[in-house]
Amino acid sequence: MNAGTVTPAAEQALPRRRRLGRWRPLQSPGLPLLATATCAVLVAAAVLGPWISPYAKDSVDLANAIAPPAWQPDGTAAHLLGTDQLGRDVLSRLIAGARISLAAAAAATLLGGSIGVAVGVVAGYIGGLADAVAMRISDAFLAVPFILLALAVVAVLGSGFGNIILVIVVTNWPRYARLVRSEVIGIKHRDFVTLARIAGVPPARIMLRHILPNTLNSVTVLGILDVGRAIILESSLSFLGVGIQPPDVSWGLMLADGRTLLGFAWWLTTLPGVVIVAAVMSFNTLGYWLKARLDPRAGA
Amino acid sequence: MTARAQWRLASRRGFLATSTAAASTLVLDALPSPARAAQDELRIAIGADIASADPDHYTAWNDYWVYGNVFEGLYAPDAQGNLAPALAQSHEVSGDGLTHTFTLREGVLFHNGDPVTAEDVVFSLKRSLDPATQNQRAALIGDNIVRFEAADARRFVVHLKAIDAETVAKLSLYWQVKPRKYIETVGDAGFARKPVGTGPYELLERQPNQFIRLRAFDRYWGAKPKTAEVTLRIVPEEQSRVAQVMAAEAQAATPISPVLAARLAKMPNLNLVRVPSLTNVVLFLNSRHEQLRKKAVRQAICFAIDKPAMLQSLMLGYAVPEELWCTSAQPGCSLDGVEPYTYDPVRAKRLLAEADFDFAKPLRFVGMAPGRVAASKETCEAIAESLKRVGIAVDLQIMEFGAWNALKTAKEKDPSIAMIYATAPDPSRDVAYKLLVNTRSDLATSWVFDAANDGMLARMNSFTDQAERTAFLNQILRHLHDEALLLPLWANDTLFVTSRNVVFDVPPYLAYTILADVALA
Amino acid sequence: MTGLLLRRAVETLITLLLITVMVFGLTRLTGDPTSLLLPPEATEATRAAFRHAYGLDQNMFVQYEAFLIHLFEGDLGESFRLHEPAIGVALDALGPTLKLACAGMALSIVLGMPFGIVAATSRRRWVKRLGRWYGSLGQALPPFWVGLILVSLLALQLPLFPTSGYGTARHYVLPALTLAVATSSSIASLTQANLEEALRSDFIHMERVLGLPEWRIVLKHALRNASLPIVTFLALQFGLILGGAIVTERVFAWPGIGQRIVEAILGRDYPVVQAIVLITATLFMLINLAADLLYLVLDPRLRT
Repeated sequence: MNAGTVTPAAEQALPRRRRLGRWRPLQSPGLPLLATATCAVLVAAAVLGPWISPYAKDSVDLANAIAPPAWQPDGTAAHLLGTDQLGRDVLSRLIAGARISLAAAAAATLLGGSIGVAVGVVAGYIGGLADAVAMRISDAFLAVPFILLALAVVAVLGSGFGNIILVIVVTNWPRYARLVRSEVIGIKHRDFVTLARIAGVPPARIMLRHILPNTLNSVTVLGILDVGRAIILESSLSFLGVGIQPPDVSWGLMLADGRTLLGFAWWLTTLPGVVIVAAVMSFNTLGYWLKARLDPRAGA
Repeated sequence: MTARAQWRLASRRGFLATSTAAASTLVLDALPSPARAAQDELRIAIGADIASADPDHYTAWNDYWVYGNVFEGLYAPDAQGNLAPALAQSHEVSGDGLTHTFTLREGVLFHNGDPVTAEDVVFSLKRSLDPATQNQRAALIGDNIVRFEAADARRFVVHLKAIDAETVAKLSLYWQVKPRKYIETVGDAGFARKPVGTGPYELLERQPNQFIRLRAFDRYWGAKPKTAEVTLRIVPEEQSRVAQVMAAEAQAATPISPVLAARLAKMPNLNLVRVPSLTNVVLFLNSRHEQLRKKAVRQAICFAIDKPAMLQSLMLGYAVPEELWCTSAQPGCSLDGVEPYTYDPVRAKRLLAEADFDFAKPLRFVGMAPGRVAASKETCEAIAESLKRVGIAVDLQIMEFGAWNALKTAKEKDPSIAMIYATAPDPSRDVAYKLLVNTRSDLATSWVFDAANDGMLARMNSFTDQAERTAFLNQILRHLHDEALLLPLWANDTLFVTSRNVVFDVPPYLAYTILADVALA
Repeated sequence: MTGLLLRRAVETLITLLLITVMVFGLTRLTGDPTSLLLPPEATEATRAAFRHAYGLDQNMFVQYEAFLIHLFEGDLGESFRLHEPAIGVALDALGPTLKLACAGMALSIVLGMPFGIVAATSRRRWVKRLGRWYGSLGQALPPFWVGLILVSLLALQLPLFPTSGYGTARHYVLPALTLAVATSSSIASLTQANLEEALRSDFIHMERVLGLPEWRIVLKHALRNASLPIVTFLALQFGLILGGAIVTERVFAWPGIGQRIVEAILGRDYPVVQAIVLITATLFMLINLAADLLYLVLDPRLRT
């Protein structure tokens, strides 16, 4: 066999990857039921949104503005969770908001994660100058305040769904890069990688087939934990006036818009707030559970 | 114990010691200085800090919290909002209307005790017009001025290029008299830090982004202000402003959004003060947009928008509806013979059908994000909804103020924008300024493109007879109305939430708050 | 040690340079400040003069070059809006934010660590679960909502603290608490996690076998091992708080850099934005450097 090449069959024979995590169903806790159920409900709301909401998300009805939820003295069954300043149904907007908030968080996490992972794998494996440059760039991104990044994106591209995703991607990717890089540095000296290198597998293939899959566990965990972070970030941007804009609606936007009437129309802020807390906590709990199951070093 | 262990122990102790020291400095630093709760002190929570205490560095009307109370121009608005003599006692215009002579009032002093002379007035105007000062309103004040001088210690003369009915207003509202000797002694930076003017209040202390403390000037030439000390606290978040009043940390707060104000008004220990302002809200209809070229389409839009419902639900009635682009306080606003754009969706649909409107293409509508103008976002959303109900598809874009402003004041107007929501405040009771800046088609800020209007604007300030001028202004306003080049919505009220013991002498309209009129009962 | 310091210093400088490029580019991308800073009636001539006075009419590279040259002289330009040196504006606002950050960090350690320790050492499952819940809760609460609720509860319903403002010790409590809510829950969960892991290690088993009292084991040994990641985390958090407790500062009218930078960005006041970002980034890196050094002090194994 030529030293420089390796036949596909031979490559198959190499120990391609080894799971770093082991399933230990007896030791790790069972699936967190409440968290999973909540996540499922929210995702269902996001997916089925237009079919299950009683009203359209922007059905303005000025005569019925700021109506309280059904169980309050002035509430009606027509609007279970009340209406906002423009008479729009809060429940419908919460459902519509699920779509935007979760989609934005998911998309941003996937996109940011992909970029971060790519940079991290390359930087960690190749090392040297590429590593130094990549790390300096990610440090720079971490140091620039997110509001500046948000406004720059908004000012150039306008605000809106896609651009909020861009903002979150830009603020998030460095964390993935750093995490993956430190993992890769740990992995690249392991036997199976060394074997692959000796066997002549090209570096790109090594990174893609051998190293990347082994980082996916921690990346997935970080990704799930990031969903919550993205939701909170979006709410801060809406608070400052540069988040999601009409006709789109997100939980953060509802929370920010309703805050002036905190003492008088509590449902406008409290309901989105409760939903946000439930969503973030559920995703975080799920993320930690996953981490406990996949990480050999047990812990949160 | 090994040396290494000793060092580790010592360094940890050292670390603890230093951090304790740092923490205690922090705590000591934060301990309160003795409370200064004066009897006669009015505390007002306002939304934004002024940019600079130097009146030549104006950036926004908010700056008038200081400029309007610490400084004065030659004339000043009186209780009815008319310009009355302030630093100038009287004023004469030459026969040809090109020379204005102002006789200054006797015995007026600056806050530092220096007397006001015509030299100070000359110095002030020179400083304002000097490019080195970078006064952004220099062109507004001085474009029509050929030269000016002090005829003697008490007379100030201005020579104009052309007759301008706005001359007195320009030298009263957009420009203030500053002390020559003081500025020459302390320099520009010193003047900005500790400004000295002639107004009823002097500036005691200012901490940027925190507070501004004003005290009544005991040797003021005019009526003594009703409150001895006023502290303006800067609180950007509306909820926090209201909380300040509710917790009695401040006695008044402004601005407050209408939806909240309506509910606060019902609370037993709070008062709501509403003052009609000259901040009007208007929808510009771009007659250069391919679908809005026809007057019928623009008129249809005017008929389709449910102004009364918006006024009731969004502004809670805290706004004065406008049919012509003016308020009743302003001359030229007579509605005689004007056919109003009532809420008539049937008629709107008919007009659109007659004009062969292409319903398939959405109209791009640029709106403003919340923060600057009350209910701006909600108003834009309601307008979009109104138009949707007559079948017009609307592509609404709510923009943050900077981005909105860039679009609004772009030299090359974006032709894809069909409608733009805007406010165009009037600084005085005269509509001429607003009309000029916002409807003369060659100006960057104008979204009205109409040759007839431009022609009328050119003649607007050349009348010497007031009655004639008023009638002519009315003509301009009607023309804009009948051609549906813009749709005035309403003039926002300025809303204050105050505690029960604040007595506010409310003027008929408010360009900026005159603190001398506010008292503590 | 010196080698490490030197290397880190060089890395910091490079990153700062990258940051200047980023901030410079980003601020320019946000748009022309001219129409924002000049009143609507300003003529074309005034606008042109304004642009020329601030060098905004030159191309980006020329502007950047001028910016760098001035930077090395220590001049970060003058604020367009305030007509004052940008660096002065930034430093004036930095003090209050630093103090708030310290107060927030202190409070979050005081709140979070005991919680984490208790949750880690307890044998009861519900305590552990509560610990994990608390760990997620703080991060799930939007900060401005927390702030507004705290004002409503602890300043209005129960007049214990001022509603907003800056000046006395009591003014620190609510904003620091708002910051601490998010941070303390992270510290609690981190402490719990790391302490649990440390308590399972062989070394600790040994100590138990030797008969040392449990509290001593926890405090002296386990905690020290658990503190390393917490130190890094604290450094990161401090930097994040510094980077702008933007939302908290707005709710509590705190005159810090968070507010200043939002105001400057929305007002397109480039020099102030640049000054604030550079100063906070430098601080952030110095803090990380300090944390790394602290790491070395606390864990001799890393010194090799």
